Amino acid sequence: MNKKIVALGLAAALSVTAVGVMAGCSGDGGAVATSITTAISRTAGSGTRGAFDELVTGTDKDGNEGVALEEMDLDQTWGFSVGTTGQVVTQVAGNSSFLGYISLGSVAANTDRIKAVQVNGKDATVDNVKAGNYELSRPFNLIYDAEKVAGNALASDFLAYIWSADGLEILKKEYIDVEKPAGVDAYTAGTVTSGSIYLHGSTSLQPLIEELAKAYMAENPGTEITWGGGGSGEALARVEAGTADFGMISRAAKGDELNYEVTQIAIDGIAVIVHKDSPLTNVTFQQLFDLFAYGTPIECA
Amino acid sequence: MTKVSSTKAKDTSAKILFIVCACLSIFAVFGIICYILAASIPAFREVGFFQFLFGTRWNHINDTYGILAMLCSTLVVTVLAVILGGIIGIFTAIFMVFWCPDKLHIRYRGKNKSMQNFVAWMNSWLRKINLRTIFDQIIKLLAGIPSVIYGYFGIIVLVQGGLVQMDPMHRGFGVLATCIVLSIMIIPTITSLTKNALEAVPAQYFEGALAMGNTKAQAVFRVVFPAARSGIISALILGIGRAMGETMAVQMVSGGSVNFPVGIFTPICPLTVKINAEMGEVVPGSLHESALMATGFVLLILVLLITLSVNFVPKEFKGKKGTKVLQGDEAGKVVYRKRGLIPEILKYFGMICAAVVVIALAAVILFICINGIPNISWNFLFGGDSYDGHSLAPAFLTTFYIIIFTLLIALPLGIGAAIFLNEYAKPGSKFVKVIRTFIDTLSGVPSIVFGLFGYLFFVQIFGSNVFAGSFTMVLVILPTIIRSTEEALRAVPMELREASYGLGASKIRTIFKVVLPSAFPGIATAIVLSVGRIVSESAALIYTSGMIAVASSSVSSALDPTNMGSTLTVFMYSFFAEGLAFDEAYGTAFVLLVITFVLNLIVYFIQKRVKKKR
Amino acid sequence: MNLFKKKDAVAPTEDAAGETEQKKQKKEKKPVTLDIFDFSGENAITIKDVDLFYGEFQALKKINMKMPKYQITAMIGPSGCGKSTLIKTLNRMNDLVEGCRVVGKIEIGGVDIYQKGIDLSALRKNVGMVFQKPNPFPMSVYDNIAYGPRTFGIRKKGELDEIVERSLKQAAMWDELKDRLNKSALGLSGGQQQRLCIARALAVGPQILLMDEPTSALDPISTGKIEELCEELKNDVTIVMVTHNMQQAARISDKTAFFLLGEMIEMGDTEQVFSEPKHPETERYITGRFG
Repeated sequence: MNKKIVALGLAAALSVTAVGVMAGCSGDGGAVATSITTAISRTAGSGTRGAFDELVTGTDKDGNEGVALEEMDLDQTWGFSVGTTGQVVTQVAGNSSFLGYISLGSVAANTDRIKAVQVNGKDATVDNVKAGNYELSRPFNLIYDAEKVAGNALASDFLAYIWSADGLEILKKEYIDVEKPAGVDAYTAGTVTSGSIYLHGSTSLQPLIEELAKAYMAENPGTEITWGGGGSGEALARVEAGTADFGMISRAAKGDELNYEVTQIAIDGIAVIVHKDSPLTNVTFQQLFDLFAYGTPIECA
Repeated sequence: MTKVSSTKAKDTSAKILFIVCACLSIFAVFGIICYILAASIPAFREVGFFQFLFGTRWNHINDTYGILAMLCSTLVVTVLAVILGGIIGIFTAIFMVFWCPDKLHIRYRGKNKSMQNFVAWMNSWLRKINLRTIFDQIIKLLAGIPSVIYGYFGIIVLVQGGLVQMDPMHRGFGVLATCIVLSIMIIPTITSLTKNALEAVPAQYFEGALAMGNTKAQAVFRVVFPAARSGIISALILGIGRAMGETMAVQMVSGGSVNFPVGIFTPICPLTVKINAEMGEVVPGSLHESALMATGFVLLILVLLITLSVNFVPKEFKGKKGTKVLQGDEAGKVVYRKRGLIPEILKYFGMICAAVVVIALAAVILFICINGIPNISWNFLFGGDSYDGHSLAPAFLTTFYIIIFTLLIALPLGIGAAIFLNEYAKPGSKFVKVIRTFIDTLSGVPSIVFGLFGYLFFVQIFGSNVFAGSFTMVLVILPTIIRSTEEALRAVPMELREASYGLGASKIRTIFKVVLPSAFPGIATAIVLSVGRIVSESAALIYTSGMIAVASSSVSSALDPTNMGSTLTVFMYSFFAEGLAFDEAYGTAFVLLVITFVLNLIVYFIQKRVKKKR
Repeated sequence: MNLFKKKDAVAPTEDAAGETEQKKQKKEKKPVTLDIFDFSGENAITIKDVDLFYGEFQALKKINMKMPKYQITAMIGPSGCGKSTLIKTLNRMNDLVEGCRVVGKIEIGGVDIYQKGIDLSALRKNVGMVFQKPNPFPMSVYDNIAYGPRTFGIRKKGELDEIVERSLKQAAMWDELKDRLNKSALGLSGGQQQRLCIARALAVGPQILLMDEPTSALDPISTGKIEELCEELKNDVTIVMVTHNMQQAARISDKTAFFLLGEMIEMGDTEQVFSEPKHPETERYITGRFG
């Protein structure tokens, strides 16, 4: 009997220790790393990846041909790929030797955990992107069946809303606006009072769409806008199948996507992010290329 | 008298109905295999079957598909997890059956009066606790926790909390993390099956060994344990099947890169993870989609072969070992080895394993509670359409819908099948054996394969909504319902049926008026277990009832069952996918934990009432 | 139709061709219905040249018996001699056993119950059974007793109330149970449960009551009560009882049959069988030489 008491007491003590560990465990990896060893890439369906790979790993600074996207090992031994903006943030925030890239517009919401570094010496800001100083940027596009949208009052109205005064105000906070395309009408509040639309695709666009949609629905009660998806690669399938009114892609449209109407709604910067406590402040294209293509660590000092 | 002849017709048509219900499992298994195979054929054809199996690269941009690295990862991780989880699970079961004290009692021999009173007071409380029951409930709770929660636990506690330090590359993911998480997840399965196997060994073997002078530890490890061999092997095999099919938790800690599992921190991509990661972005009808289906097909066949191999484990505990002991051959050896050292060591090892299990559970629960409770608020739980905060209300609704629809369909089918198997079929007949094999097969199918089938079949019919999800879940819980109902029917004593027949009642009347009502507690247990399974299921539902992005679900759209919706677990998974709402994820995890706990409690009270009645 | 025709039932009418109703129905091959049994004869049960096989094993060999109406016939004999098997042939309960085959004729109420097309429901309504171990349903006392009548279509509460009261009175339990009709039957003691089972069997108004070792699981006081009950009941119902307890047979039965290894060795008036048995085996059994 005594042995049992001892064993149980041991178990209890260990449990209490575990509790202590848990409470202290905030998911932080401990000491801050002094070099970046692991690149967090995105799954091949990500529009952000497409843009990043084109800009960074297509050719290096000296014009040397990099590895074509089609031939790259999409999953590399020295790093790994995750699907969504959120996953990148989670990974980078949890480990100071990680580096990843996400939509510039998603940085502001996560500055408690991650930070964006300079690229080629330039800060990642909307102004720099607009001025062309910050070189990592790509378009936000919506693809859709033009006829269907024209026939759907809510869809065309929401599209118009993006270029309304309120819409642009929202957009310009974190992104760069573009000219309103010819096929889009002017927007008047309150004309549409019912209906529902669904947007599917890139996670990079979702924060922007969320803000726009909420504001739109507040102004036009009775309407319903929902959105979802795990990457630009999912957009085409849904639009084709008719299960989404708009597909969201965070790069230039390509392939079969060009069979549909493509409307650019914004320009977005791609921010390179690291753990907020990391000493790293700047990366060059060459360093990024070496890290992502060959796994060469980046020193932070 | 029309009443008389119509009874005959009613009897026959009822019997046919029950047979159809029983055969559904057969149709289901064949349906799943055929549909997924059909969807895989384009990939097998274009890529080449052997190229597909033995290719090492997976690149869907240029349509290179080879699953060898992923296959190896799955196998390696599974084997390691079953070794680790198996050892812990088996020894925990041994502890539970033989050394777990029923009652706790503190002995205080000192003179201090107030200490004496204190100890007496403690003892009056301790007497109420049955430690064995508590252990049982701990195992059941571990078994019921949704895998998404294990995934989070894996990332936060294991990876970021500990493994990151150990990894020279400071990543923490990979083979080791996956093994640990998987072993925690299969411990409950192995423990409960081993417990059953140990308890099935006739007491005479144990007593015989003791009577010959063995210590308890010697009797347990040298006689009972070997006698329970076949049951334990079955338990391990089923654990392998379970580990192979696990998707969500593995995805969160494995790293997701297609590599061979060369080092303990190599990021890997087991088969299930690849399917789950890329299914969302395939273009329907593309080679990419077919390749993923083919991956699912390979996984399915692998798991089925392993699960079916359980049937070939010889059931011989009419033990040669046992008779040897009783006949005195081994007895000679046994008697003269006084206080066998090894069994004693193993005994303490058993206690440690049991302690590990308790710690693991405590860790998981505390992890959820500490992080989750601060985030629970009325608004979070039941808030309406407010887009400012995320609300669980739509997820509650979707979960509720799926539970209701699934039960409405699965209960009649499952109970009908059980009635056929227990009341109509001849016990040894080949037909019954075939049906049972198919039911066991169905229960071994990995949930992501159910998801693929649901996507191929039910979504085409219903669209991506609650109905597709429910029909898919029917297939998932059917084996549970059939098994539990059968057990309950079997427990109804034959005398009750005889009494009913003796009074002139027909078979149908006997079944519906006497047998089923008596079996009700067992059926109620089956229902509660199914609800638990539905609540904790995610992989099967993502591609059928859908995964609505966190920010955009609303109560109004969730009210309509023809809309896509996320259940609680899928909701939580989408938090992980977005990564933007950790707090809400923990809150959801806490809610899920509470639900699991409450369900287990309900089952416990049902069983208690049944025991009282007897 | 009144399901509870008393023993002074109308004799079956004969038409011009001299055939009775029942023979006509037999010719038409319709399922034998409830009206068909005719208990006006002297013997309630006639067993002619009956063999019973469980697969290859022959459990009953050439049984020939006549069980008179309104009397208690006891069947005694050592374990495994076939008496339980025989009693179960009388209401075809051994149909439930795999591979059981009966050859021969058993006439109950003038009807061969092993003919094709016989309605088992009707048979068991007329031939009730009480088992060795009390087996009340896990329902209330009321529902237990009402189960049989409900099977046969009686739904009205008033009628059921009447039947419940009558059956409980027949079983001498009314006073004990009238205040706890809606409580679970499982709460009763063993002896009470068995008497409840008797009441339940009586509720459908059988002409014959089969009892398979009804008191072997009970204490002596309950046993006594049930024996008393049987003596009362035999005024309305023919009783066939299997018993292991010779003294019980001697106490209450009118006719006794002794069985050994599947054969009926001897049958006759109880007094005669016990005081002057005709066969040596009977004597050896009765005097306790083997058991």
